[in-house]
Amino acid sequence: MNLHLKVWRQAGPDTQGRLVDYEAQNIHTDMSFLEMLDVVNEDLIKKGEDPIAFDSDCREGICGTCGCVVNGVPHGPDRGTTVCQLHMRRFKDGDTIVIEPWRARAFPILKDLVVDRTALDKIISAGGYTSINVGAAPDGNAILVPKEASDEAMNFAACIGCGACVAACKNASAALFTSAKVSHLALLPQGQVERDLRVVAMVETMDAAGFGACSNEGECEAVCPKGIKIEGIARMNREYLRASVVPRPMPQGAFAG
Amino acid sequence: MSRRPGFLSSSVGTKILIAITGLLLFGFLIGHLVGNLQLLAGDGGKAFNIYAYRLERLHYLLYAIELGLIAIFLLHIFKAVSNYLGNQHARPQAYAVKKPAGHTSQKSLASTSMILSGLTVFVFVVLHVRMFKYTPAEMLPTGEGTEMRNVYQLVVDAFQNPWIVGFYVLAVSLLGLHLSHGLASAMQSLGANAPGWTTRAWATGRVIAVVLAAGFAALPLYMFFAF
Repeated sequence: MNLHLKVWRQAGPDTQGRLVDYEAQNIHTDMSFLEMLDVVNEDLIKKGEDPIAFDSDCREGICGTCGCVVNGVPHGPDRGTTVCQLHMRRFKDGDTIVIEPWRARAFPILKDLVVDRTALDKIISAGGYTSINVGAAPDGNAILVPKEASDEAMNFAACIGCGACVAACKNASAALFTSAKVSHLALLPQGQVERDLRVVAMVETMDAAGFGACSNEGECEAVCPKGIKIEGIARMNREYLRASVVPRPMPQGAFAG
Repeated sequence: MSRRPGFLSSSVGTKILIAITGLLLFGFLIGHLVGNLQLLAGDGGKAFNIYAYRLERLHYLLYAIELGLIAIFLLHIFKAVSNYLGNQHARPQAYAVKKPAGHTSQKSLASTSMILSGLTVFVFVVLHVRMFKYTPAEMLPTGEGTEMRNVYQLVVDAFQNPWIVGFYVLAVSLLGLHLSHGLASAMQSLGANAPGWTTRAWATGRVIAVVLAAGFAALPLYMFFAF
């Protein structure tokens, strides 16, 4: 099938970008969305033009590297997938597809569809470490974790940090991402020692990075390729309130203190 | 209250404050509606006028309550407006094409117009207080040797004007719209949500908002059609 593409082209972080029209020809329905872009890029390279820059790595929907806004929805029309797992059978011959990068002050555009997501790494770094005993291999089941806590922590740990939540949010808020990281460790025994410091440091880093506040719309949850729930944001808010109002005893010299 | 200076200015702290003040204002609305339903008592306004008189007789306690309400209201508006303006900076360049994600999202007309519906309600409240609290009314004997304002007659007279009735119905409809996102959103901001409860929270919030708005809208409509 043949498609009309409107792709955001931007040479660098400080240059003005614009939507450029391309024709994607002889696209097979079994191709993934990124393979379709590969085909378009092959043509551009043959013509001596600059290929469209986009991020990708595993192309299995598990690494969190790829991501762009397809026809106004981050990662495109399929639910629970990244854009690399979006397939061209979702489109019809003659369709027009608008492809844009994640847009947020905290995610400066590096080139075309590639954005700098260092801000998410900074939030992770602000989360610090967990105080656990390293050394010899621990005995099995020495730390008891309730099944419910383990399940829920695992659901939050599924976050791959792609940034679609920020891209979808009208305020470009990173609340869902941050809440997934906060909730993951707050639920587990290993995360307890620095629990209060962690949430406060991560929220402060999130704010300082230039993300907006959460308006509780849940657009983030709807586009999340890993189905992270906004109940996590409620948990983050509880954690933050608790940490600010009745902080738990903290070890001396802990990371953010 | 905070061991760190940033609590109230952080994004999460701001939302918590907007939520608490919003829920307090919602609490006031319930009390206000229950009190005003006495307008429908069919006793020529006796019950409603005595109710208004008893409130006025609280004197300093009433002033304290009113000041508290004004403070809560202004804090809610100030925090919400500054939050809104801050959010506008978070995405300097808009998308060429942006669509609602659908699926589990609770995005709605209400959630995208909170600032507009809220500010309209604010303008309404100023006019509303002026119309009934600071307009001279006929004085009636209370039967205790004192006099009370005939607020009931003020209300009946005001709601003979179809423009005023229309404005009131519009304003309380916008209030209902505001609450249809605001109630569940406030609970979420305060952390009162658990796995599997999001849809139920929003559905419940919307039902309460519709009931409350319908209750308030019924008063001017009843006065217009009954007299």
